[in-house]
Amino acid sequence: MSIELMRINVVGIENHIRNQGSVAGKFFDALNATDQNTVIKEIASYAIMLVTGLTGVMAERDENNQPLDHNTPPVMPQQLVIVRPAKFIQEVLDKYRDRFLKFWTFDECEEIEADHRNLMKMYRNDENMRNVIDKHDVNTMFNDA
Amino acid sequence: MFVRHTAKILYNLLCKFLDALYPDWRVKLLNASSDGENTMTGRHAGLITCITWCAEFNVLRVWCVPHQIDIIVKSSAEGINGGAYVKDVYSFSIHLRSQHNLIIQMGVKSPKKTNRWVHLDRILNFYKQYRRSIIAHTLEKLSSDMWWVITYAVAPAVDEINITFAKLQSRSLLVAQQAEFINALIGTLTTVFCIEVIDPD
Repeated sequence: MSIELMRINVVGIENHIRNQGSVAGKFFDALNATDQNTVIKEIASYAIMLVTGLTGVMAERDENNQPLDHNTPPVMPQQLVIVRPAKFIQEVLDKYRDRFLKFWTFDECEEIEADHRNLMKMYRNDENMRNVIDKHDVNTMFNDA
Repeated sequence: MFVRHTAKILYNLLCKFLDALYPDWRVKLLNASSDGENTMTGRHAGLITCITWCAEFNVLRVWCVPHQIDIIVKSSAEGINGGAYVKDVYSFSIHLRSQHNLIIQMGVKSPKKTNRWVHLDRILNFYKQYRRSIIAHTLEKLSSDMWWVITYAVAPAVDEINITFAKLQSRSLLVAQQAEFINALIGTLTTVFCIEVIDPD
């Protein structure tokens, strides 16, 4: 069956049921052909509804509580090392510069740019640093990074 | 709080608290997160809307991801057999909780219904684990073969979702990391149910 942009193979669902053990297989075999089709359709609809719903999950929302159409700025080292300084300044620092200047001096703001350039330089030249940052993944916490 | 939880009352209380805690909070406020409930997210007078108006700079609004997933998990399950399946899951649980002989025989009571998102997983696994005793006691009258097939098919998906729920509740997790976990969950469910995503082009 196919709903919107997803397709589920009927045999795949039957295999999924049988993968849950011989008990599940016995319950399935006890059904007549019509009920088997019905149960496969129900499970397939459930799966597609679940995946479609999860695809639309996004934490950042706009003023109407709809998903925000742009991503949050990069903050983790493994993200920052692949952002060019010009892009970092334009897309991250400039957006928040007014806010920084409320509490920080111009010099301190420029230090952020310098820190970013230094991070990229160390990533390029220092093998140990590169190895550490390359090991960071989705499970690395902000404070650990 | 012993008064009504309207957005205005919550807003006044929150402002009073934050003013006492840190008077400059309106300048430093970066983000406001909520459970997505209307009192929180209402576009005209929701608490988050009021907070973003009083903040000096742009505030990132966040709708708690586990709360969003909770809505999806519940609505997907309620879609099975037009809602009859989930209704049976819970009414069956209530019935089993009153079967004292069965409880003594199994040495365990069916989990109590709660609104927590992990509940469906606990109850489905309970049915699977004590299937023989439950079927023998109820003489197969209360649970059909089709009901058991759906239970066995749905339980692993709910298991996977609960694992992701636990990860998403980590206190130091970033929003960007949450997205990775959701994508991983979608990938797992796509594999579990053999879903093929069709390229629109």
